[in-house]
Amino acid sequence: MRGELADLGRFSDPSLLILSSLASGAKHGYAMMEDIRAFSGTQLEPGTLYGALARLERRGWVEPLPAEERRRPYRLTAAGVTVLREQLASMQRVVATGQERLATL
Amino acid sequence: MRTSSKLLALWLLRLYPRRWRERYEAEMSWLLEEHEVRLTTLVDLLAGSLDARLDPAYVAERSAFTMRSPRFTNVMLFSAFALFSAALLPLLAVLLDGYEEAGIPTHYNDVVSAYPLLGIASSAVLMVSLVAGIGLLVTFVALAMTGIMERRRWAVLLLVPMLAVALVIFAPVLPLGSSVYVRQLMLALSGIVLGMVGVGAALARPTLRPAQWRALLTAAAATTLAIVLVAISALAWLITLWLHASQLRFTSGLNLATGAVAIVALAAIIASAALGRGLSGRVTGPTSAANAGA
Repeated sequence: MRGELADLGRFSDPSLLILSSLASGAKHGYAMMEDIRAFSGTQLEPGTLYGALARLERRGWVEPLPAEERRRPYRLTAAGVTVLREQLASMQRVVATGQERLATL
Repeated sequence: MRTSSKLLALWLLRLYPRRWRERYEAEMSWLLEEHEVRLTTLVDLLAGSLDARLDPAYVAERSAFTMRSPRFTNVMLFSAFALFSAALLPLLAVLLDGYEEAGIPTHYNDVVSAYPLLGIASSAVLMVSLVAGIGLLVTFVALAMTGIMERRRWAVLLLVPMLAVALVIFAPVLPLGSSVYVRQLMLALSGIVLGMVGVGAALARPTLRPAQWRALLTAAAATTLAIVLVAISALAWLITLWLHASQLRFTSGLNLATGAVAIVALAAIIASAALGRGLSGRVTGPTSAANAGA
């Protein structure tokens, strides 16, 4: 169900949040943390954020942009968009199934 | 407080591998300056640094997990474990049974009733010793597994003595009805045997893959931590005894305990040095292709 993101182990959930955050445009680390906290209520800490970012970058799902002083923005790649779409579609199927079954209770 | 926690967080970035720092340190340090650093931030950075060091992407870098010839490190580690076990016997003997000297009862229960702090310190020594024993066993299992992983089927036979050693180690905590001396003897002897078998296995140059080497070092790190904790607890116990039971100074019982604590401390130093040597990657040797992590 969790697809390629599941290969990231404990970084799979933070990675989904990061990909979702970058779906609205390029962001640097701090902006990502703030955005993720705003839309999901999850406070990612720097060690987890950069652990996940490094893996996403290695897989070619996000790419770094030129640094602005010490801040470096990241953006989604085409492969990252595909992975995010697949992941969200998979989650939507689970949500739909769960809701259907709940409705029968 | 806030500034000091930020400084600590920035310092923790040094624990990451060099290549990681070259790539991410600048942006992470900027983020940490903006971020409210809490205890969870520090723990997260610690976990992140460990994770980065275990990350196969950084295996190419010289680090604990890319050591090409860690035989000497292994020998150091297991020697420290054997030394530690050897020191446990007199230490436990003094802790549990004490000595009747200068007309002063030094039996554990008598001393504890007089000085409760001694009870806490010595209980900590005993409890952490048990943790160290478990760590020892895990280390040995990891080392023995290398033979199995290399498809040397005869290595499976190692499981039999390992099981026997495990039983001997944990026998003292089981209500076998044997005397406390016998249990202490079994505990210490099994630790010594385990350590020496480890030394022998390390000298025999078992081949370790990076993943196996990581497992071994992780177990060794846990054991070393336990030994260091035992050493600290034992030192605290000894200092307390010296301060609060001046009548016992220079008695043979206390001298024996002092010697045992010194050996435990030495074992802690050797184990820490071996682990530090591994973590700093200051080991050179044959090519990794020929002897990856052996």
